[in-house]
Amino acid sequence: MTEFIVQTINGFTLAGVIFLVSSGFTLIFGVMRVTSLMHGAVFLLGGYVAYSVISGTHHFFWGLAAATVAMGALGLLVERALLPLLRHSEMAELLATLGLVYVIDDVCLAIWGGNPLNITLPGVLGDSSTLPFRGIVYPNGRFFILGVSVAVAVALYVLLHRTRVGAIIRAGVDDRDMVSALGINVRVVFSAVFVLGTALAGFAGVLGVPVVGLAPGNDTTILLLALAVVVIGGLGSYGGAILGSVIIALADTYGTAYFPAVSYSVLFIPLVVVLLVRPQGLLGRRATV
Amino acid sequence: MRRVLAGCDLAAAPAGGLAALAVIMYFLLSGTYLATVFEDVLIFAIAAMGLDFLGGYGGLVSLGQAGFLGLGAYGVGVAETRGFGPWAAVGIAVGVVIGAALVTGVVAVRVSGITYVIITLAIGQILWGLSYQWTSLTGGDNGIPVTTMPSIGPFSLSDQQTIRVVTLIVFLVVFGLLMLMVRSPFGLSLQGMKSNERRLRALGYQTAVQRYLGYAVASFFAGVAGILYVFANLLVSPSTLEFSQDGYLVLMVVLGGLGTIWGPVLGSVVIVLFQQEVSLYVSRWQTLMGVVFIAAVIYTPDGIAGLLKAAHRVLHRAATGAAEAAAPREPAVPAASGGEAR
Repeated sequence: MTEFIVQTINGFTLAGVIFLVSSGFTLIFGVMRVTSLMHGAVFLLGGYVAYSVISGTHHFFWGLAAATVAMGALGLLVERALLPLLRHSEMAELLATLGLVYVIDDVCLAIWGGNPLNITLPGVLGDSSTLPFRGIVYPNGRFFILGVSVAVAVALYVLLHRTRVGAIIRAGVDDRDMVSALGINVRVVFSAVFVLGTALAGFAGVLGVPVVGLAPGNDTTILLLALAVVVIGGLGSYGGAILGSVIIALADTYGTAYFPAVSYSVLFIPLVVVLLVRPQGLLGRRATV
Repeated sequence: MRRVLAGCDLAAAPAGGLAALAVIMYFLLSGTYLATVFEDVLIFAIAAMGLDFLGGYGGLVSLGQAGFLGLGAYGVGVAETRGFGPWAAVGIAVGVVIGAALVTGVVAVRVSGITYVIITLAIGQILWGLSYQWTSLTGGDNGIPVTTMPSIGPFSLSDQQTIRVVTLIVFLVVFGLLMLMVRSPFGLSLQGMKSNERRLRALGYQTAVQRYLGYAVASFFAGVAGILYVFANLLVSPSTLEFSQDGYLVLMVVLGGLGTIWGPVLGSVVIVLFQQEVSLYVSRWQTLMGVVFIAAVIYTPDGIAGLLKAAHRVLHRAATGAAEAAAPREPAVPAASGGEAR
């Protein structure tokens, strides 16, 4: 039972990290219809950038900020320089970002090598505390990660549902042409969404290090988790990203703990079930365009 | 002059094919390092052509094709470690590939477009996960070595020349089969689905069934490539079906040219040369390959095949233009009755 409780908390911290990645992915897809396969690679690069900045400055939060800003800048570069060359073809955008995966992975390998690295959380966050029930000892850092993820989720919710910018973004998900016809500069909205999405992936890449580590190949795992999340929750759905993250992260954590021989494959069972029963995703709406 | 050109046009494809075949044969049987390179080119080309059949003609690009290649290879490996003979192992591998394709196809054909890419990626990753984690069956990260090779009479695949010739024969058979299938009613209806599925359904076509069959065909050829792969490399490990391999197969098809059966063969040449040749001289060959690929997606959406077709059109126009300038008064005769011009 104690084991089960620990695994459940682990599952929720992983859900927090996956949510940060997949919310960006789903926003980008929802508003721009771009399937950014480089999202996992951005996650990995963000972690590496933070590692180097933290090694230099010895401040975790400088690393977190630098990775977030740097990945946002990378997103701006891709959105402004690469995407306009792709004729709005969904497949071309998917393929070009697949090409970027090879480039980013290779650059990471060249700079940071193939051995796993680690980032330790500062001060009290690096310690563990004893929980008030069953004497479970659990690292503070993971609670911090979970708390930050929830805070970001709330902030994103407020942004999307309580501000004018959010209303424009949500309207963009539903009907891009109409938004444009209302005199809103869709180009700026697109750039903002893409930058927000990649910045979130970079941010998640730093917070994810204590949870999933920092090593080549993590990008693929994270990309696949994020894809599973958005298919389950519904492509473009913010609430779906939260629900999907929890389902996938718990499936992954319990699977690894109790069925290690098939844990990775079991992850995709919810995805297959959802596609069979509700192809648009749990909280997704049927495409109207 | 005009007749020569017209004849040239008709003969160009088979002649080019024969020339390519001669080049491949030469390198394949040369016994040098390049022989193994070309062996790999042919094996991956088989899987890439299968991917292109559904991707280029049916509009459904799979990011899980390496999974089925790996499944064919693991089918042989696992069967052999369980004491089956090499031919039985091949039979089992084919059965497993077809079975898996028919089961996963039920899910995959329910979606199209981007979601299809994602779902095939998931299917490929399920297979990768099994190969990596189900260690009692697959040997985990170490993979499975294959030791016994199939043989008929004096010919055994353990002989390097023999397996290369067999690979070439299988490649040619698959190439021919796919060329026939593309022109068959089945292939044409796949192409129709790509341009307007609703209309095809209205005409009474069972588009879901067509898609399902197309998926099975594409997966089957990946499995065939996997069986050849394991006999050529004597080992299969999870890295054979990891995500980057799925990506490489898509790169081959897109770089070569979606929607031509021979395009992916050229793409396979380029990607395998990157992996095995460029990597000897450029340590950051993956970056280079990624950049080349992105440039191709931007500037030549139809791939190398599209470039060659465009070049051919330009040359053809230049040649016929020159001919017309040389003989401006000649009446326009159809090529078939142009014999009198001699």
